Amino acid sequence: MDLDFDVPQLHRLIDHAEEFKTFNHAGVLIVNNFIQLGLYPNKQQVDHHSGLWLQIRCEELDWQLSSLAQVLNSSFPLISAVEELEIRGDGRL
Amino acid sequence: MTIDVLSDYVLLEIFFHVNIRDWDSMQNPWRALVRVCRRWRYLVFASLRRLNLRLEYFGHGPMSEVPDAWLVLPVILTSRIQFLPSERPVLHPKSGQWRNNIVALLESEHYNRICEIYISDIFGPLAAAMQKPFPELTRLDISVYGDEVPILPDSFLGGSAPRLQTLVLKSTPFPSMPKLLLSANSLVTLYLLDSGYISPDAMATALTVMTRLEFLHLGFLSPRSRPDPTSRPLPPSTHFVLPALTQFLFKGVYEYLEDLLARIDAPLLYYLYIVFHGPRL
Repeated sequence: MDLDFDVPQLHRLIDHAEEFKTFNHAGVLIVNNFIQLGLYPNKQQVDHHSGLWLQIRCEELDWQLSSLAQVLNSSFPLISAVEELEIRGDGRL
Repeated sequence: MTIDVLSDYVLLEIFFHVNIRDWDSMQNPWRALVRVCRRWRYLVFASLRRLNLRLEYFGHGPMSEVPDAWLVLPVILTSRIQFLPSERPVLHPKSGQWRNNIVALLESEHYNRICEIYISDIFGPLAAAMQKPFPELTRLDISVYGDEVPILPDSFLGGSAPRLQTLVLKSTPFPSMPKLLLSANSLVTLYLLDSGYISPDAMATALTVMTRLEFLHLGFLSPRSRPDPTSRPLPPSTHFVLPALTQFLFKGVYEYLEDLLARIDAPLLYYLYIVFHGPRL
């Protein structure tokens, strides 16, 4: 297995988009074949045609978590603004 | 009191709201309006621009059977299912007669009024008939659901589409697409799904002309979209700004996205949806 999600350009793109800086809610969904992160401004107003959604397709739970952790490393621009994090899974957790 | 007491102005306002073409269940409703009476027919055809009339051609019969008064209208060529009752038997969009009718339209003098094309079956003669510029074409949507798909040739659309505002290609290989995109400086929506590999560098170069682009969807269904690691360029020091891009969806490997994003910036983004293929085994 080769785990090497190195995405500085993605971080830069996100950092330059002013709208994303208002996002303070996050959700992580872990299911059989993917892990998904969602960032959006208000949990009460989740709009699936706005926000930042990142899905990584793989099946093993440890790969899913390791992959997402690599993308969300310390230089990910929005993590420090998150006030609420919701994690949901399919029962494997 | 009858509807005849309504003024032409009021009737036109009503017709305008009836003729909302994007209602899937009510495509082309103006065709029902002109059958009501002589006055309504006159009003509709005297207000082509106000009502934004289009002739939706489904290919069920030859264009020669279309009434003369309708032949001045911009044409929408579509293989989508027609919901309105049809005056003639409905042909299956893969039948030989349907294909003949569609190709005949593309090769007729009416081709230069085609403003939108929606097709789900691109076959050899159809691709051949589209090897010329379509001067009024603003929307092209080719979504192929089948195994036999011809590769679109270099001369598709004459290699140029300056008025195109929406381009949707699903499972439609088109190796010369970067060249066409370089002429498509009116694009607002670009949706490419599994339609052949375009290098991140070629895609970024094409995007530099799309200053009106608001919606971009790039999807590769297999990890084959991974760029050659030996030829990945160093990130440039400057980035081209896509000033109107607000929605970006990507599906593929992260190396491709990184190489593309190394060339572009999109400060007005409010929707970013990314699907990465998982780790390599």
